[in-house]
Amino acid sequence: MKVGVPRGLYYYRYFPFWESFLQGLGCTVVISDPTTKQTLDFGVAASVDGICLPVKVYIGHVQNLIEKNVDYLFIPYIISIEKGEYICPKFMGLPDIVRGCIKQTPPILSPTIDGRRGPRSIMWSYLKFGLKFAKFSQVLRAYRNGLYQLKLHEAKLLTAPVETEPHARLHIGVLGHEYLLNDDFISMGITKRLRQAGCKLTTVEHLDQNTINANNSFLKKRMYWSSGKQILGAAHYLAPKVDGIISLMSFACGTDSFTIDIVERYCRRNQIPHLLINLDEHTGQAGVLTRLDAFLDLLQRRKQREDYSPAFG
Amino acid sequence: MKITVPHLGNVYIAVEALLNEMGHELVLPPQSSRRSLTLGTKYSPETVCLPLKLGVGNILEGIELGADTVLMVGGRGPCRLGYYAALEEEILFDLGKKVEFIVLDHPKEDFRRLRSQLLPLIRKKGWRALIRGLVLAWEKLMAVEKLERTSHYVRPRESEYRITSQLLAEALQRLRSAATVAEIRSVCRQGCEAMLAEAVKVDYQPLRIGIVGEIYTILDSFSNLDLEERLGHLGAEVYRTVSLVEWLKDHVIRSSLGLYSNKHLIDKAQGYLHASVGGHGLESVARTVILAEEQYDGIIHILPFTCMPEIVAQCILPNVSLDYQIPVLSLVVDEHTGEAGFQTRLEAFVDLLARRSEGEWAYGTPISLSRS
Repeated sequence: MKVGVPRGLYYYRYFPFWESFLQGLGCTVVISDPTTKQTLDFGVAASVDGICLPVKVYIGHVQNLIEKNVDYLFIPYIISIEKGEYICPKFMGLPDIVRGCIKQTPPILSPTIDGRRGPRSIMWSYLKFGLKFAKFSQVLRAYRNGLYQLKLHEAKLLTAPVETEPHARLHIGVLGHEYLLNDDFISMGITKRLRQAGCKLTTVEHLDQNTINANNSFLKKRMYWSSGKQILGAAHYLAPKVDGIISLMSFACGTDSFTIDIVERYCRRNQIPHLLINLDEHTGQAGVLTRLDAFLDLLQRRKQREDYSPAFG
Repeated sequence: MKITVPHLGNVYIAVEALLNEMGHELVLPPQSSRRSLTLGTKYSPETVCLPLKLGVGNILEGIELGADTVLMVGGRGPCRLGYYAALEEEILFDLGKKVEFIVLDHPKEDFRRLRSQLLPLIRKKGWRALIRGLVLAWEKLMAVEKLERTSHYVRPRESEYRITSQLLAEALQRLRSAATVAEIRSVCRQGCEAMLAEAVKVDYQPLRIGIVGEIYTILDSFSNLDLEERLGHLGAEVYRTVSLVEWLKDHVIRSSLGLYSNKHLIDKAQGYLHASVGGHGLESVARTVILAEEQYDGIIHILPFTCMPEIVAQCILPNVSLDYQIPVLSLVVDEHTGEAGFQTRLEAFVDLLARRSEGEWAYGTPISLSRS
């Protein structure tokens, strides 16, 4: 049984888990190809115009999987991944959005991941989902394996920033959803380009949950989106440690319109250079690269003059 | 303490009654206008939804009139409304405005802050005044909705162009000054009767159009460019599926008693949307199904640009439209919405419905105008 997993959205966070969980249930896992212009074009044509870029790309990935003749699509309903918090409403209805945008889809496997009452309910929903395919002992083993793979993946990310070269000329914090940062097509390889330019990067993924939680107390109100909480916590944690912060957001992203704005205000008040790159399907590479270059120049000069230059123009 | 509140349609009438009864001065910002929208757009983040921009504009205009306290509602997700107050606080802080925020948040969020902010408000005239105020506000809210509902019925049948809107505005003004429950009820009754007397085209069978979508853009006539009035003048009877009274009953009263369940909506949206996606997303889909079953002629789905829950509904509604053979028009509004384009689309939509109801035009392809 071929199960397709679209390479988009929470693929970048949960794929190690999903892969070994689905394999443990006896499925063959097929991933869609990395994003190309074609993926994006299909997504843009098939979805409604006001939806955000990552969802459009996701629709394109689903189409790619359909062309690969998968038997099932794995698209979970994700309501919440942490206790008392939500993620973007679009994830709550993602399979319904896909069905709305693409007429003929293979059957969609969609367990409902609702962690509002704690991690145990997430476990139950995966186990209940797995019981449709295999016996309980096998499902449990698959689930444990999945979690183990996820832990390994997360541990690798946490140690990543230490391994980068110590002589980096600039240390930059990069904020944004993992599905933007890790997709080289939509982010136009910004992380790669920064590394090539000799910068040391710390992204949201490189920080562990405790650091994030400890750095959220500066907010006037508890942030109830998990992704927003991560970005704000990372901004607060990184601000005193880095030379500058770059935020990536996609146009029409609901949660980021709030969180990145708060980040921007925070950086401005504390005189930290901040560059906001807003991505959509029309973004031209040249303009973005010029802005990146200019920003790096600014940081470099600011460093040489020992912070006498202002952070904003 | 001079309190100001952002506008939401005609809800200010109820808020005013409540605060006056509690002995506080309400500095009412002028009705939302191009100016409030421009102010709000200038100081809000670029891609937030329209209600926040208008709210910021209202608050700034309220501050210009001398307000020093802002009363706002809160929430706990996943819709952005829950974070509005916090972001507005940041925006005003950066603008150097010294105002205090009183946020009516969910008690589970920060009970201490809520209590420390509300108790001084209540102590001024005591708990009895609060209850009296709540009763008055509730009555006024119900009266406002009843008057508006009546105007939806009368407008396509009115004797003289715009007479209904005039009578409605007069009745609302009188409602503002009504001070007792009996007075409110009599103003409401008189207002309704005055409007109904103008409904002269008794034989006329208007098109019936249901309005679904995001609550702010449905209730606030500035943000939806007087959608209901325009449709009424085009000869259609409008049914508004969203009501603030019902929302408060469901989400404040029933859900705090643990009695609220959205199961009936989930059942209706079966096969399209599996559960609530925050805001009115589920309701938009479920109500469209319900209205289609009730043989409505068409549905207008209205949402602010980038609204998260409604975008999910917008993706799904073309399928509902096709399955139930009911035309659905999704209208996205933001600060760039132009009046002429809006009117043209409404006229075209009403024409289409009229031809369909006469049987001239069979239904083949989906009426999803956003997609080919």
